[in-house]
Amino acid sequence: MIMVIGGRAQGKRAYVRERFSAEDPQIFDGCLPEEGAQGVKVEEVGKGKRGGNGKQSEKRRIVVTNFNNWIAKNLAAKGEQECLREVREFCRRYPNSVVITEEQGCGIVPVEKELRLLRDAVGHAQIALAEEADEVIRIFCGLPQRIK
Amino acid sequence: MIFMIGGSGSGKSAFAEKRAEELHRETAVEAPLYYLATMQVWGPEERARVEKHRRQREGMGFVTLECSRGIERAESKIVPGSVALLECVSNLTANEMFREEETLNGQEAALENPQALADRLFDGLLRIDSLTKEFLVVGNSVFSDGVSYDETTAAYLKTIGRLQQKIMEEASEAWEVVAGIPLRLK
Repeated sequence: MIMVIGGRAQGKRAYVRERFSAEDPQIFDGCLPEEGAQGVKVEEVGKGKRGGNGKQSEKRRIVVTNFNNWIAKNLAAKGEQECLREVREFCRRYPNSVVITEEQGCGIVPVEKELRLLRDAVGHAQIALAEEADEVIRIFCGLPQRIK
Repeated sequence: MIFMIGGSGSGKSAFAEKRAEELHRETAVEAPLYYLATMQVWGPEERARVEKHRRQREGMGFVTLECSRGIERAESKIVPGSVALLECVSNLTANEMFREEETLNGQEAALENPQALADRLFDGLLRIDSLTKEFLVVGNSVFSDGVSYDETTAAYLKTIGRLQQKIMEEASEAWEVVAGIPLRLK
């Protein structure tokens, strides 16, 4: 798994497009493959082909965009520990994946409790992703830096 | 002085604790390994956070010195030549600005002159630094959320910004932690 991390609008997606679009990856926006199969929005980009019948090949390159949204959607129902477990399971099951995630912990502690918990959970999930990842790329002002 | 910085949930504490323990072991000093705790417990959420951090550093040999009411409270207890870890700069600053009984003084001071407050806090850190063999300070990346804050929060940010610049300048070693990965800055 390759993890791409950076602040908002830093060029994370452009980096992934540039590097992987030739492989015609399947894109999962804010969801993980299993959920995509169950009808959550799956957007097919790259060469524009709409492939797959919901069953994702574990060999095919897949790209998860807006990974943070997955945490945001699942945290309340599943709790942080279960989310972390599923994240790790995903990483092991899809070694050929790319995960794009936004750094969100670099501001003042939010007043709303849910946002505070979410911010921490996103951070912890990113630590788990980075531990599982073969490669971690951090994008800052469009500049990719390999940090693992 | 050694500086560690990162966002919330970045894994900076775990890294700082590991590094502190490592340095304490390497220097083989008889003097203790201190954890200078700055978080004020207002309710169950802070209590849970403090507990989590306590568990995280359990068994690492830290002696916790409570200094949420000012770093000078820890200063007199520190054995010279020890290793100390202070966590974190934003609590240290908040305690000065938003501390119940002295809130107004600290806030006014920051509003009037954030630099002076930062300088005063930095002097405290320098005193601990000169007492100890190794002094690690955990900072906070709180400047990149693009939000415009009220005057008091803006003064708070300015104070932390100034303080962290001074710490960075003084530091012989500095790291930024991203998703649990330490990146050497200095």
